Amino acid sequence: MLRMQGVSKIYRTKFVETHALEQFSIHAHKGEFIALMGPSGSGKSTFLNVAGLLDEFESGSYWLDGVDVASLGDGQRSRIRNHKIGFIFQSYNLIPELDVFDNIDVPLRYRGLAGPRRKELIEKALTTVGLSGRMQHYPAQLSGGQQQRVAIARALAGGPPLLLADEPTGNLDTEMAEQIMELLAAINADGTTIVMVTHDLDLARRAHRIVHIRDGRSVDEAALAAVARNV
Amino acid sequence: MEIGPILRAMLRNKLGVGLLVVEIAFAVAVVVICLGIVAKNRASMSIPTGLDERNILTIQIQSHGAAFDEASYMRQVIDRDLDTIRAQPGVLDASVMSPWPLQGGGSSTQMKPTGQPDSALVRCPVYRADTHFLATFGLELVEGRAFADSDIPLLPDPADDAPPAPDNVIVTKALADALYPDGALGKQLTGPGGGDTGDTIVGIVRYMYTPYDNGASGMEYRILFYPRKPGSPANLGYMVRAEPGAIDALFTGLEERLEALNRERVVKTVSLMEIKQRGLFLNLIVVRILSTIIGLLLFVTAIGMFGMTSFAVAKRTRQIGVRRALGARKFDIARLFLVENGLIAGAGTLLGLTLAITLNLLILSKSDAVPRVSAGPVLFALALIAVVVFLSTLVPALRAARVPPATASRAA
Ligand SMILES: Nc1ncnc2c1ncn2[C@@H]1O[C@H](COP(=O)(O)OP(=O)(O)O)[C@@H](O)[C@H]1O
Ligand SMILES: [Mg+2]
Repeated sequence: MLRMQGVSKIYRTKFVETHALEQFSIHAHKGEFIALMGPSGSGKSTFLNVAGLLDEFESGSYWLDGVDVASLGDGQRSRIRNHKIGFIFQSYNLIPELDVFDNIDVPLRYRGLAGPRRKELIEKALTTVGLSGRMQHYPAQLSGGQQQRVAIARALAGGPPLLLADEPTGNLDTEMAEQIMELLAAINADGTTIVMVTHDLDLARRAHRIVHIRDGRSVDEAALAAVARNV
Repeated sequence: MEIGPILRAMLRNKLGVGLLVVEIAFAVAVVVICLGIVAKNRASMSIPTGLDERNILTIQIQSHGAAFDEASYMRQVIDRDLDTIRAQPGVLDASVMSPWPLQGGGSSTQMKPTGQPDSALVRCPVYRADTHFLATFGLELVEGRAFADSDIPLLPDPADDAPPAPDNVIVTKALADALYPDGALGKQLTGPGGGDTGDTIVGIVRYMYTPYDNGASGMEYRILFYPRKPGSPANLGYMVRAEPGAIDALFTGLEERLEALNRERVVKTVSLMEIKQRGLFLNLIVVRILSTIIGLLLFVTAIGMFGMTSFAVAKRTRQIGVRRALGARKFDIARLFLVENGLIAGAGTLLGLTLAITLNLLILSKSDAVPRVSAGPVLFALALIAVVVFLSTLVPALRAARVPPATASRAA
């Protein structure tokens, strides 16, 4: 589903070059649920940006659902984001002046779907996240957990094969976080590939596999264990 | 298109959107009304005069010698001047007359068909001119004849506008039709309160127009000519028609020739085009001032639109990133802001047009100082507003389109 081989991403400012990803490799199979863990500043968000086609990368190769995305133009990248990727952000990122219905509608409209079809998808997604009764609410009228569930509904309404989540429970208390994790597990069980960034080991353990990242490099668990022994 | 959600989102910000709508409405109303007035003034500036105005120059003479006070001497001077002028190479014809046509005003009177009550009076500008004026102006006679020497009273009357003896007069077709719709040649006309005697119409000119009180009394085409050789020591006026291309050489040449004839005079030549410019001065000023107001207003509207949109783009940078992440192309982002402002401009325009038409009808019900709102200026105003809104939105909208998608994932 998602395969990166030796991907490097450098942030350049006037005075510094930050190698946010360096020779980073990862392979997420169809239907997999991967947790990406690493200390702050290790490149987790950078990875999600590159994986989600929100940002470009310098070198290496990246296939998404069998497509080499390195050479695509902005329009095609937008189209792939719209059709194949659902994003879940730590800070929900709902559009404040749109109600729940219109928020979930945003990616569906960009896909050019007809009104009745969009309505059907929105209602289905809201049922999945258990917020059918909140269609007309505005984000400010919802709790953090509810907002994140709306964001999840927005991410999955169009049925993308890949969900990318950046600390989706980072702003939530344990109970809310638990609900979100159950939701993600259920969505994954329906066949959606999920890559979730977290630094909560308890949550990460619920994934099929944990990938560690440090200083922009992927570290497999065996190597990590070896490092730990040497300390 | 995503008009539904855009509208719903805008209604959440009633104050901000409302202010913009009102700004646009105000701009539209003022531009529509001003453009109407500009159009009217421009139109009256381009009305043909019927005169061969590009080839006509005017000569104004002020005399100082005591002998000029005598009418018979004055008469001699005029005849000699005119003979001299007509003898100049490049001169087609010359005429003594008063006042100048096309200067925007002059002198006017009221006339009615002789024998009719005063309710039949029609206002008209009056000129006093000699036997050569038709040829000098380049006017075309449709009926009757030009003035003959015998039409001109021997001595100029001291009270010129109220001639004691009946005259033979020439009128424009417009005045003829106003007085006698069934044919005016040979008929008589009389001033206010006049009895059974009147002046006889001996010639009818096809067309002439002279700007007068901005068209308020509607008499600019209804013109009356009396046979006279007007002239006083203070003011003596000739009009000279030059052969095409010959006018430039005549200005100084004629001044010198006429001053040489008699040293006790000041001779000044001015082209009829310049006189006409003075006549249209008010129209020109109105056009200039209102055009400036329209320009400034559109500029302010553009600045306002640009500022509000730039502010909205800055405030919604994150949302733009989120939309990009959710699949919006750059075009979709730019379109979002263009549609938003398009809707605002649409609402403002509707409101502004309503305002302009209401205001217009209100003013028209009290006076006819302003032209009725008409399709031409309205369409032009709408096009102007559309261009202003589009351009002032386009710049921030394109900036919005360049917001990187990764903005969505930056820490809040
Ligand atoms: N837009 C950016 N410009 C410059 N440096 C950046 C930018 N985004 C991230 N970085 C740097 O890249 C490194 C990785 O950041 P990030 O991927 O956000 O880490 P994480 O999400 O794991 O905390 C950090 O050193 C960070 O400072
Ligand atoms: Mg991060």
